[in-house]
Amino acid sequence: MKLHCIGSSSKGNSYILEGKTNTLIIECGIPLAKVKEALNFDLTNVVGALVTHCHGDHAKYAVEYMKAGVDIGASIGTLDTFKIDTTHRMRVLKAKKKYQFGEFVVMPFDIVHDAPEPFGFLIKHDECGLVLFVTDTQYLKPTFPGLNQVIIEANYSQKIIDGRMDDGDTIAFVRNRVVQSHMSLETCKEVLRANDLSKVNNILLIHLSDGNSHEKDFVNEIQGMTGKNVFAAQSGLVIDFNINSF
Amino acid sequence: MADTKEKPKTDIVKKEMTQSERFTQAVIKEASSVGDLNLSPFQKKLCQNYFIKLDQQLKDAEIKRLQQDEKYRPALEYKWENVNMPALALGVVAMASMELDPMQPNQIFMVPYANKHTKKYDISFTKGYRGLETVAMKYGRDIPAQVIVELVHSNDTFKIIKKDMNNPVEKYIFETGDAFDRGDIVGGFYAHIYADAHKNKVVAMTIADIEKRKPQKASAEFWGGEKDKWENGKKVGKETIDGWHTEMCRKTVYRAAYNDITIDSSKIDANFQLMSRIDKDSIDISVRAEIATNANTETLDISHEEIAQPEKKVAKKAPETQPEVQTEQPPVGEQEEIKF
Repeated sequence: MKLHCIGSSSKGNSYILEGKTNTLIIECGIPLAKVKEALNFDLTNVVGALVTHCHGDHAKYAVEYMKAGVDIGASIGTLDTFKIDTTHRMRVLKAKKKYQFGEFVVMPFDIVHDAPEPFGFLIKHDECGLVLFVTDTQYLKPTFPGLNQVIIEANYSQKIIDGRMDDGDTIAFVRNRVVQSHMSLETCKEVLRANDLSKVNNILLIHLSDGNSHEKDFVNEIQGMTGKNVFAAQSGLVIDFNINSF
Repeated sequence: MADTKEKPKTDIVKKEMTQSERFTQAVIKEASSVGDLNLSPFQKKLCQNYFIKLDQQLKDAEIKRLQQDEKYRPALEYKWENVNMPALALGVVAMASMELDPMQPNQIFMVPYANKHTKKYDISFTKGYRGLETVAMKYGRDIPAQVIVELVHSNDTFKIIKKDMNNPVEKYIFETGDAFDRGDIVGGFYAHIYADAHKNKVVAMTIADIEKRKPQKASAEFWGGEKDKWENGKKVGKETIDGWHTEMCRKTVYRAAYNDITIDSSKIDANFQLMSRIDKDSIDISVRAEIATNANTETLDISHEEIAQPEKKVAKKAPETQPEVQTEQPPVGEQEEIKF
């Protein structure tokens, strides 16, 4: 299994889990052309796309994906915001229920963000094992036994965002919204501490804020804490995402 | 010779300070670390109001805490000894300096949050829509003479006439028709009206815009919706309640109206800066408390569930119905005469 990061910021988010025979897209915040490029212009193995919530950087191009024949799985709160009312490509998912997308098994769960019914996802596939995918949330209520891969938001550092506010580099409204709807590095660490990481191979830090994070420091801190392969998501990144690390 | 003259008795009786006065004194002492505090008598009176309000809130919260089943009851008692006083002092001084009165409806709200690390209650301060109005009117750059806020219902008529080359003043048409049958709320608007009408501004908000501003943890008691149903101390399911949806929508448009008044940088003073700091701290307090209470508290195991079939999304709008075809023939003799 390969994990492609097509985009991971407020400008647009999209990730691909590319297996030998099945491929799953996560988030539709990047034009489909970029996804096609990453998949060598072959969408035949794509079994669907998951969308966490309705904000443009995650869902802006969902309709374009559906028009190209990709099934979209999301909450009814997310699907209701799309600019077309309904198509047979829309799949209504419910929190804590398990769904099959080709060889992938997907379980959505509730997260804490300023959007209607936002979801995080547990994704299981024989090649990569159990993947936690979570972005745009203040924190996570559940913990998840049996994880093999973690894709998790580390949007800002409390120290950096407060320092910028004191220096007048960011306005209170923006700072306060970020703090209420995104995951800090500190909370991300708490999530990792609360979960059993003994079988985890890779940790991908996603949705790092341009101004309120420090990529190298974030990776070093999480690596030091967990001893795992830790990456910071950036456009064009491709990593091996297998249940066994060899 | 000994002085046998008796000293004249004085009638002065030392006046005992009230609890709220002692609180104010303690608050001023505590908060003086941020600089000289020149609180006016009115602002000092407001400090006392913060004491009265919070004292009552703590008492009410403690009664509720004791009513809870011991198994679920929070350990930390709601009492003054358990309040983070240095932080409270700063907050009270900041908000009293802005002349925000906790005893007036919708000005400023205080909420105690238990801090698991310090074992104290941190008090957060949140401005209500009247509080936002107070701040905007004091620190705004271009303050409207009047702010009009209305909700628009489906049976109302509402139209904005935008400013353009033929129309120098932005205005609107708003008619409620039958005031007692206005239909569902479809949105709202606010208008900033200036003495110089050329500056007038009208902003419409759809119901989606309003709902978007609904707090993530909005209470069903206020916004309506589903809430847990309890019977004999046990959760027995969900119930749907009306709440105060209309009122909450109206307040949301109010908040947007006053938040849309730009702050004048030249008016920003130490009081405003302190208030901004308390605003930020209050958000941090609530975020910290929510994370401490809820984060990583349950287990979600993917291996336990059966595979479900995703549902197809049902169209929101019902398909347009064909006009009814009248099949019944009018009685003979009442048929319209056919003219050629």
